[in-house]
Amino acid sequence: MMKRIGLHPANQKRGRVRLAVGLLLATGLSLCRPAPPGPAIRISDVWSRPVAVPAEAGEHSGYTGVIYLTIANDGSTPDRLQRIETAICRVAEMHETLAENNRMRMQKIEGGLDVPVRGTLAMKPGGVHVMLIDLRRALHEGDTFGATLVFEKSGAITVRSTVRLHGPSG
Amino acid sequence: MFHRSEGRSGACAAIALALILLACAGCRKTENFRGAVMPADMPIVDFTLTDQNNQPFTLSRQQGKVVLLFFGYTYCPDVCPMTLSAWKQVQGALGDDARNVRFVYVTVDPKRDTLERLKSHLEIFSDDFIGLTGSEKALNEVYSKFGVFREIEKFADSETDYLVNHTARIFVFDRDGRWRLGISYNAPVEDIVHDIRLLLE
Repeated sequence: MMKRIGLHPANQKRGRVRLAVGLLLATGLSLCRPAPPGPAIRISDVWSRPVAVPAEAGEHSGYTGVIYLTIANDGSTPDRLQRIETAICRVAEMHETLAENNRMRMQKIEGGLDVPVRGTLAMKPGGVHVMLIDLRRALHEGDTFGATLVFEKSGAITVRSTVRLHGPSG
Repeated sequence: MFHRSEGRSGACAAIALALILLACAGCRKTENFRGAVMPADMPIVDFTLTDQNNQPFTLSRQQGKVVLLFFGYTYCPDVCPMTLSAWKQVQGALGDDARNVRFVYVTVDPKRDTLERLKSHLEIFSDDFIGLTGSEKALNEVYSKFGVFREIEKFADSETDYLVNHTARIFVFDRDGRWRLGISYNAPVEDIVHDIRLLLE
């Protein structure tokens, strides 16, 4: 006599329904996943240029550097980058290079920078950048160093900047 | 019939090709540059400054070489290194032809850009790049010859000591020492390489 192995027909049916509901839910979620509540910050392409700083340069070394990076906000609420902290230099400020007919000047950015919903804030050569004032040591190609980005809502996010001669996109 | 038609289309193609070649030859001399072309009757401009190895550098002594001239300062974190980085890529793309090009960086901040500092800064990018400085008077004369704008700006709200607003155009001289082109600071590397190759031909 053959004995049926497996679920009772009633349980089998219930199982299939559960599976179908589960699949539907999973598909639905992956297709139209709602943005998470609040901002969802993603930081990429963090890099700096090399700078030759002599060992004896001191606290007010007079050597400046830069950090470029891209901040994306996948969340449903805007956020604001308030400031940047790093031990690599005495003070870090957000600056913007302004070009007018090939004349360059820089301007300090006051009050932070917005990272809009489903938008990005790109810091790239020739535009907005983090200016590292009074570097404490030389930045050699291939070095990395830490920097903390402080956001109004997302709080502090620490990243590592890689020192490179040319940017990630050339 | 079939043969005649083939012959005619062959002739058409040959004429079209000849026309294209002619058009290219015609535009080559004047329109091929991607940078801004200077008027043909520009007088020869010359100057002498001191390089990072404390040796005199005279523009007119560079004849036979294409010279790229940029005005910047080592305290500048963004645009000036951007140009040096582009130059490094230009140098690489030119390969052996880079021997016939001089990459020259003139400071707009002689107070802070000492010879040592110019040297250590430029070495990051290339041992072949030339950094120039001089007295305020000598530098001012050079700035005015090329219409270079330079203005020192202090910021009350910033921790920076001071910054220098300046012209960031690349001035290009041909092998006869004539000022031929002005290239924008953010021009693509391939455009700079393209124009240098035309001047080297």
